[in-house]
Amino acid sequence: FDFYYYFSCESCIQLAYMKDSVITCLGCNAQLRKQSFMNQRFDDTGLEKENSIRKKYLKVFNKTRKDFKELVEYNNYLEMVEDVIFEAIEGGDSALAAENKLKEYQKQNQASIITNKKAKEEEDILIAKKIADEQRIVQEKRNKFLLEDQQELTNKKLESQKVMDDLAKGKISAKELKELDRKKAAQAAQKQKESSKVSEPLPPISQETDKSATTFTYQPTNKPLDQQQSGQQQQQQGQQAVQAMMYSEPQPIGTFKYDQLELNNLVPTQQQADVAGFKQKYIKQRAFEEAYQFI
Amino acid sequence: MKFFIDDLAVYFPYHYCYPEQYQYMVSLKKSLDEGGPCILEMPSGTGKTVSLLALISSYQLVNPTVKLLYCSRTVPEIEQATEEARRVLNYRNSQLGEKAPKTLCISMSSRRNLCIHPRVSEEREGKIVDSLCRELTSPWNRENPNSERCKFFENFEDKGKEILLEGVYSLEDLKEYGLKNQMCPYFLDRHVLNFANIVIFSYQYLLDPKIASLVSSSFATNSIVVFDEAHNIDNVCINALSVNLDNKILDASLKNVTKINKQIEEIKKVDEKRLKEEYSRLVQGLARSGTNRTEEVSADPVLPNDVIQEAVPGNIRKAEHFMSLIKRVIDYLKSRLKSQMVISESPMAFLQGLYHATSITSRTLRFCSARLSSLLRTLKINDINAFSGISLIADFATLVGTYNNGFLIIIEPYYQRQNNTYDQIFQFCCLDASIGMKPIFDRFRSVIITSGTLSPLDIYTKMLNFRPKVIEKLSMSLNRNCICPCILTRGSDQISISTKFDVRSDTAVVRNYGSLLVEVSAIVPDGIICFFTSYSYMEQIVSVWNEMGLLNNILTNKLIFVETSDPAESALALQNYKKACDSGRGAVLLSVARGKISEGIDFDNQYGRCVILYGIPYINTESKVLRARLEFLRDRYQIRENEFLTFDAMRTASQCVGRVIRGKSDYGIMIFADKRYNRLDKRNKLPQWILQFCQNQHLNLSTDMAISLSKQFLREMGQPFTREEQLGKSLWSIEHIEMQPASKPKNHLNGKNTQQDIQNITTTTTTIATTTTSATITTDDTDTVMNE
Repeated sequence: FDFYYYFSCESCIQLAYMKDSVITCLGCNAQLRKQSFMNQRFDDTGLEKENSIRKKYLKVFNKTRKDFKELVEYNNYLEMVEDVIFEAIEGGDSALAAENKLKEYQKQNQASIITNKKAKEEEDILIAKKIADEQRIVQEKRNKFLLEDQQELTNKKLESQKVMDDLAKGKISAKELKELDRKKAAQAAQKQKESSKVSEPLPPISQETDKSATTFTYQPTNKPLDQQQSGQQQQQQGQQAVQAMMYSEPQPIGTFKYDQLELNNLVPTQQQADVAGFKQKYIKQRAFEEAYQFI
Repeated sequence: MKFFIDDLAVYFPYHYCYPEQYQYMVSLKKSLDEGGPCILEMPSGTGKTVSLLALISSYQLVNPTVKLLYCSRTVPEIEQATEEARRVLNYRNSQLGEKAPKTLCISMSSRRNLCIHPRVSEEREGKIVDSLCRELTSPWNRENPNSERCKFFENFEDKGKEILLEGVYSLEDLKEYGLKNQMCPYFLDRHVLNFANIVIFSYQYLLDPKIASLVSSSFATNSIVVFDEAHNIDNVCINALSVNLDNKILDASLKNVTKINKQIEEIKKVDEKRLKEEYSRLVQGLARSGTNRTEEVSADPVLPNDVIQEAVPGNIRKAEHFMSLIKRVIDYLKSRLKSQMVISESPMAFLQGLYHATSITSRTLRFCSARLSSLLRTLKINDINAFSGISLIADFATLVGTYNNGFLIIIEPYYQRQNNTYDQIFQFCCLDASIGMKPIFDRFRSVIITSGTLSPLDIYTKMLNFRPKVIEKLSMSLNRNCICPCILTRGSDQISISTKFDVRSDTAVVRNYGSLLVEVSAIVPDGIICFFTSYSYMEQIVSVWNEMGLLNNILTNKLIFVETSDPAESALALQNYKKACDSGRGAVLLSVARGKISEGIDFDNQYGRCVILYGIPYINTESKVLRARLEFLRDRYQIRENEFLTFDAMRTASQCVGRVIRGKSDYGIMIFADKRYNRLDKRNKLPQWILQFCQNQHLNLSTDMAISLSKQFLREMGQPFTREEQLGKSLWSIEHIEMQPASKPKNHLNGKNTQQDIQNITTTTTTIATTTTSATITTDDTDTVMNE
């Protein structure tokens, strides 16, 4: 079989093969079958041709390093092969010579060609498998990471949901929650410290020791200045009171001495409360307010 | 002054020493004694370089064979370090007097910075200087009696090899010496590098395998390697081993191939002997022996311990065979670039594809780079610059044939600005920074990684895959709190501000950012620097400010300058910004984190009194290469995606804000304007010396609170300040140092009774305890300290 490296329009060729299974080449009158056409991969048709010739020759000249004792011999062999291929590519007489060499070599090394071919095929399969494995592992890892991330996210969500629920049901108070958060943060900080294992910074930060020594120490604290101290202190106290009011929960109303049983009818079920987003206490309180409004 | 650390006498060129400098030297000493890598963080502007050089040069007195390789990033930084070294060595030698050993400290740079040839040195471009120089100095040119030669080089060849220099030579000194003796400074530099006690050069000379194998391969293994300003070291390692190819490069290299083929034909006709010589050399497996110093063309891109000492394979021994192979590789790459899809594959898969298409094996590929440089030498090609395309291909071939793990090939369309089209780009990217660092850790006894911003340290040890013997994070000891960090989460109207993608263009956020700048510009004297997350965001936000009329408000207080992506324009803006600060008008500089200004340019004293960071400077996560690297980091080193991104953003952020504090007499406000900074995971990644000032009242501020805080701070900083106050706290004299347990003078230990020792120790602890809250010397004082 022969390859002809001309550009042709694909649809024209398709059309030509519709009529006949063999077409004759316009340039050299050779008979061409459909199978002998191939897709062009490279820009340069010369390279296209070279590669196919190379493949054909390397199928026969397929000795490997294992077949030689000395590296030099192997290198010489490689060079010989390369020379033959070059001759074949050149075309004309030298191509014929190369063809002859190829045939001769094929005759002489029938056995080794076959075994090497087999070995090569096995190796190819192995490499293909390796590549497939590699890709699979990459994909698996990607999925795993994705899953981990998702899980973490849902865990976080669940946790905060749980906290919200607890708050809603009055299982824990906001103060307790704050305490909990602080503990968690401290834990995280501790963990990070342990993992980084960084030695302590050299001079420990101490602000109190030499406040008197440095007259112009910039104290970033919002400490009230001397003149305004008294006035501000009061203000601060006021602020604290406001803060306390803001942050503390409304006082529990369990101290009312009314019949609990009767009240239970007023209180919605857990589910109702959750849906409404009310706290039980408020509901009770409201019920009371409503009940005694008209008195 | 001279003091002891353990048993080592340290010659420190100043009369006073900062406590953190002392601590730094103690840690350094420890790591030198133990050997192995070490990682140290020390606040910027507290004299890192001088303490490093002082300790190591004193260490060299005891161990004279030890060589110091000091790596920095840029030429100005190299010059600065050389000047420090000069001061340190002068002081040391003047103290030692007659006994002073002969020391040579030399800085190293490229031909562009060292050439003194009247014609060649005119050129600006480094590559052109290189190729012109090669043209004049190549052996084949010098053999030709008619050609022009470089007389400086000839002189060096004649006499230069015997020259032994002594003293400290900066790049300018070398040039001067060269002019005086009519000798080429570059080659002289390369020559004496091997005998110098201290070598100061840039990262590339050690990390880029192409350059390292030419320059640094002869350094002894007991050398001390220092990477200063090393916070970006992982990126340097990765860039050194990555190759990017696009159609332009491939076309250029195809042209190279035809040109080389033509030359081969010509040579065959004229001088076939030469090719044959090369051939026989290759047969004997001497691919690399042909290289000698003067005819360096290009070196292997592969790390020294991966180079196979083997003969070049037979199938590329002949020049035309090799060219055919390169041509096939290029064509295969071209065919790969045709697809319009995003492809990522491992080097193994790529090699297999290449084999099926062109029957080229990886073993052959591995030798491409060596074979090409041998061929170029044989063809007597000087103009390496013109053949950069083909050498890039050969480098790529060698890398892809050598490495599999830690590398990835990504082919993706990439946007071209000029003609508004998408072009495919072929990226062979290194994902593992430790590949580049490994030979250095393996080879040298002590490797020291240091910078002002290395927090969090553990991520570096993970990424570069080493076990540091010494880790130290130093905080700043000050008499007064000269840093005022403000973590700003809300505007004055209590609307939270952030550059999160979904809210960044909200009018409320943009307005709050703008009014922040207006208010800050009204209270802060002199220079203010603002950093945005990207050029596009800066453009967008500034145009909105303009519409709102905020820019005019700022202009009543200060002038505004803007950094652009054009370096010349930015340089001009910077120059005028400094002028405005000097003249007292005051100015605002709008620039971009990760831009030119954010690294390497100092805004000391009046040039920077306040930095505003608008948003967290996250890296663009759309990049495929970055995605691949993140995945790799997670897989290999268990570094979470988010962890790395935050780490990277925070190191950029701390680099940006670190620009304003360049010494203890300096002071500045750092405003982190994004609500995300308030979260613990972000804040914790700031360096220790910023965190130490970040108390509760600096967190979760709104604009008005930050402004009042800053006002108070600035008033405080405006007070006079004397050196006496700092003594013993943020400044130590010799007496203070001798109180330290590690540095008690010897006679104390032997002669006096133990009770005093105990007393000494107790006083030491108290000094340490009181050291923290304070410090600045007025500028005049600094000068006197320096002069003394």
